[in-house]
Amino acid sequence: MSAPLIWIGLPFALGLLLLLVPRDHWAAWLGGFFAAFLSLLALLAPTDTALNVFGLFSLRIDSTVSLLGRQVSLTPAAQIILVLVYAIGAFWIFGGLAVGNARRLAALGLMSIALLTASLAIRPFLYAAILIQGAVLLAVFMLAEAGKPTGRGLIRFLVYHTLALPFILFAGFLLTGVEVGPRDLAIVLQAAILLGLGFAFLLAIFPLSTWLPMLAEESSPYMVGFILSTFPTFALLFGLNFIDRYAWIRESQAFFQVLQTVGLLTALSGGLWAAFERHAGRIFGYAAVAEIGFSLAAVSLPERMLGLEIVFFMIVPRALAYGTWAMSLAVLRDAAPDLRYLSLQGLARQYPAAALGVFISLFSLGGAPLLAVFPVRQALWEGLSAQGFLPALWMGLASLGLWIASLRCLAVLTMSPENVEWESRETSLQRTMILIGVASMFVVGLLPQWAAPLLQNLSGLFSQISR
Amino acid sequence: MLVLLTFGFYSLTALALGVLRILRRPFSYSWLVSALGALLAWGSVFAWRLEMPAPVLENAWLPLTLFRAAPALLVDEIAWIYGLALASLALAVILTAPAQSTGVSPTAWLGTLGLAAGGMLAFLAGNPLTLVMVWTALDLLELFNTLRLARKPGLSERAVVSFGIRALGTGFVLWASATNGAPLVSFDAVSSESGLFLLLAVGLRLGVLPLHLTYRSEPALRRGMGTVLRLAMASSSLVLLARLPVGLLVPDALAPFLQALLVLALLYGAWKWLSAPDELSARPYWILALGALSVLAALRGNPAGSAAWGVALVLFGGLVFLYSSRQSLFTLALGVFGLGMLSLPFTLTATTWLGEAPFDWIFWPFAVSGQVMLLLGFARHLWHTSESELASLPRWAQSAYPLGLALLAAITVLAGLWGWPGALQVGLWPVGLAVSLLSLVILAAWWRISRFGPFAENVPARASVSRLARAMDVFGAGLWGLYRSLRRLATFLSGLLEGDGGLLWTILVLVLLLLWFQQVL
Repeated sequence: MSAPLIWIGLPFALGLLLLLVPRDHWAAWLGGFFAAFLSLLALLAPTDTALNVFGLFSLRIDSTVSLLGRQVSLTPAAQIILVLVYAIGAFWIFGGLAVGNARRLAALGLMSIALLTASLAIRPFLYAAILIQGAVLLAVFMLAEAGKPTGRGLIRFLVYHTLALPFILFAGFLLTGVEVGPRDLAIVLQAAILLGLGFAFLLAIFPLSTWLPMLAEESSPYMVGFILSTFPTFALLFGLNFIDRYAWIRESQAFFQVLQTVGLLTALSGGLWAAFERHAGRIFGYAAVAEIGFSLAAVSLPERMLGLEIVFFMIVPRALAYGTWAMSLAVLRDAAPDLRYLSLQGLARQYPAAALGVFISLFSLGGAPLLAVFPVRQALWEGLSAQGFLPALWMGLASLGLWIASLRCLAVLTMSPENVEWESRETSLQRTMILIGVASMFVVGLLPQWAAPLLQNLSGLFSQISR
Repeated sequence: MLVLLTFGFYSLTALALGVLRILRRPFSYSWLVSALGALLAWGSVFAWRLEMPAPVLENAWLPLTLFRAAPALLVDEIAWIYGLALASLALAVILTAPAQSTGVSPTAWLGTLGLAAGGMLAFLAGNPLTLVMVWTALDLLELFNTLRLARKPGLSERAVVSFGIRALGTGFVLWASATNGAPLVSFDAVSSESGLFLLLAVGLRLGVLPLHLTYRSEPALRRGMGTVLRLAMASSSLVLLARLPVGLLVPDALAPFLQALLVLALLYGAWKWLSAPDELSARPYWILALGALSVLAALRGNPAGSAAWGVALVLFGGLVFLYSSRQSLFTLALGVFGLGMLSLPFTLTATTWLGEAPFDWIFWPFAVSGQVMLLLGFARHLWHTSESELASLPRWAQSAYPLGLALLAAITVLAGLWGWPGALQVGLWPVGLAVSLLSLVILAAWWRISRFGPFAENVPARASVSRLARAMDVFGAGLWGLYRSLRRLATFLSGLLEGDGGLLWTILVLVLLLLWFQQVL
């Protein structure tokens, strides 16, 4: 057995099969359990290690296969990514049971995750850009709703991601042979600009982040949530691969300075726009923009290992917040004509769990104490403060913007007419899932040490950065 | 670990109340269970002394490279005296509940016990990280409770605004931690640069703003659970001041200005407390005035004095806010216990005017006047017309009510004599004497001319919305106007970037950014 077959081939194949399953919930159960199984398997059975299964037989999963002359390799260092990504996949697919569209999410979601995982496994890693593009195309099918015109956000999502592809590939072409050190500074400079533009498109860095709020406004919140919790994460990992590979990037102070400025600018733009927004869906998009900015700012920290830990640590709290938020928004979207504040006013009295989910998720993403994102966000803030007053101020303002957005959301949702009694119109499954999400954010915020074992292999994954 | 006993009692009581609710038992069962649980928890607070000072609980956050601080609970004498005060208040609220004219509510008792437990966690917080986490938990508890009860959209909005202001206070602590060398790992590591932010945090978190009361239309909650809520929130913030290192709070040059501001806040709060029509509408001013005194003591390098005002806020506040079925004998007795607020030797507030840092002579008369007004207000509010007749209640309720008040009164005396650094202290007795003489002279004069009592009843309710509250409304409206202007700008910019020509604008911004980087690097 080889790891790429298990964690890339099988989920992709199952995703295809799930498209043929007649009932939505069968597809969701099948897809969810399979994703959870793959996550557990990644946790218990590291690749290239012989395992004695109950004393009955020995099992060894090879990390590498050759495909069309290229190597696809999931080394033991990639264990953390496999565990996280399939756990998050299972979380989203099971959640789909409560909000509808479960089959589309299970099938296309599993296929997307498989392609995104392949993007991390392919060698030479430049081919990852093509695999990410494949996942983007699948995502378009997830986001487009039958019988509805295609929104501008979706088109911009596709265009921006597609534009990223030639930039990155051409940069890779230019960089062939200069992996260790720059021989020709002119070529390196050209490559750096192309690479920067490619990643600016791929990561939705300000001002190329406009598709996020547009998409979040037009499309199903739950589908958008899935996209936002997977694509930027993999794009960032892809970017980290570049930094890890090329010495001239990771040893350039100017690069990290630019990265920090760009990251904080992106975070600030997301936070501030969220504070002034009056559409709950678009706030979701802006919060995602801010999150991308925070991740970039973390990568830019001079203590590279600390930055990596922060980036990886943020993945699960963010997915929890996105998941709960998306599900809550999906419930509210069914209850109201749209997600504008005017339409959502006072809905907390009829949909208290959904209102709670929206508020707590956004508050958590703002880095509020006691909630999942807080421990790592505070670590990032302290790290940035060590760089100077301005980075700390920018980050503080970005977080403040998200806090204001969460409070405004809550104020609008609870502003019901006089003497309306409380009731709960969510289905019991929706209520249960949202409340589990909310409770998980508190638990993760109180006990962030759960992730410590997963972070142990991080230095193996990015061996050069972590030196 | 004995500390956990207290939380165990509170949790078990909450569980039992839940079961009783499911079984639909009469409220007397719930009251008995609540009272028993609160009594056991109160008793267990004394057990804390057996292992003091000691860390109670440490929840190591890993990896250590990522998290420098981790939540920790620590029991010491400051935590003990605050904890005793709050446990006494919770017990008193439940004991006096049947005598309140506004009816009984097992849910409110449950909330009372929950708030007491939450407040105690704040007192036990071993570092700023734990404190901000407990603060947020308390804020959320208060927010959801207020939203649950709010019947008007305006009240919901005010609840959210109030939560936002307190969250901003919490944010100041985080800001101080991140930027000004006040790491969340320990109170001792706070630097003078961060002191101002911490004072701001305490000020915003007192729960005074916005000045309009959200519980105005919910008397049942205002008297019982509302009292615990307001006083627990305020004291959980003030406890931070007693934890900070002496003499490092603010730079010396700033101290006189801050002292002047605090004296002004004290005078304003004390005057409004004295002149308000009833004690419940005056509660924010009570908190404001005692909060100002507590901060002033901390600013002068006197953490014990700061804690004394914090404890006085809970105990004396509890006495006056829970006293609804009034009788002359009780009023007189409580009035005598009120002497504990005069900073006399061997009282709870004996240490309050001590301090390492100088206090300008010009401020003394105003500070003393403020304290005198507080005491006069305390006496005046005790003297209002009774809300309910004690004689009409069942015998057990007739006994429980004075027991609740006596418990609070007894703890005010005990706190002056035993158990913490502020006990058995002579303090700055000339100030105490001056306050006492002034208070007694004014009380006697007012008593003599018999205008004191009727005045309280005749002030129209409209007067409770003060000029400051209106000014703050105007300030809030100004902020809202600014927000709307900025929102228009943000909407315009996002429209520009997302519109048909958005791609061109985006490229323009991108090019400008690249040029900027070229200039900077």
